[in-house]
Amino acid sequence: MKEASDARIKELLQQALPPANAQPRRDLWPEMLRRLDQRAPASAVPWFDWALLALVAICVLAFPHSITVLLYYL
Amino acid sequence: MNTHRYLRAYMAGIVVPTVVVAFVIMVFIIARHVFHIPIPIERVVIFPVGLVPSVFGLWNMFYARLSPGRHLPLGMHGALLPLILIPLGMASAVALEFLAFSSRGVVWFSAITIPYALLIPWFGVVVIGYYLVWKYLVGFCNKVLNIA
Repeated sequence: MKEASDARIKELLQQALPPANAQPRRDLWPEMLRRLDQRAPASAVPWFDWALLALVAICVLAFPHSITVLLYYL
Repeated sequence: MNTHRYLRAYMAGIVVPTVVVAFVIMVFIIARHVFHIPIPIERVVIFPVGLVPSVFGLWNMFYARLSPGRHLPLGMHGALLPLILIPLGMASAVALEFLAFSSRGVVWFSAITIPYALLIPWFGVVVIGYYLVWKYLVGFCNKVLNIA
């Protein structure tokens, strides 16, 4: 009696719920790439790195003779 | 791509100084022959050609050795390298006789005098340069070789 009831409940549930679809309805990868591209500017050069670069450039321009000494260390 | 991690880290580390050294030699040659700065090129290039690339590679291996939670950001890690390289470079320059200490400052190549008061700002410029090079250039190489 109980087994019949379980089977009936299972049948009703299967009718009520849509079948699970293992495959997405559309290709999600292009959307993923688009989101990654949107996120890329966030990892671009921050303003303080530009400021540091400008500082180095100003120092090099102010003391051009030191260029050779700086290059010695690279 | 998950094998030979340290070899890849070493290779990623030496790319930048190996590329830059050709430019460095060119600048030294121009400085000597065009601007007549008496740079003894054959002695000067020993440090940037022989030591700096290897130290970059080893320092990047050290970065790869540290677990992600324990190491500094790559730029900061690279900014610490001048603490090793500057004393080494100055020692080799003194030994090879193109760096001298005078009453007015440090004399490079018997021609370029850096006053003692400018040494600390000059050190800061080197550190900033290393920070930027490591953060962006070495970081790019690490990303390409799947180190970061």
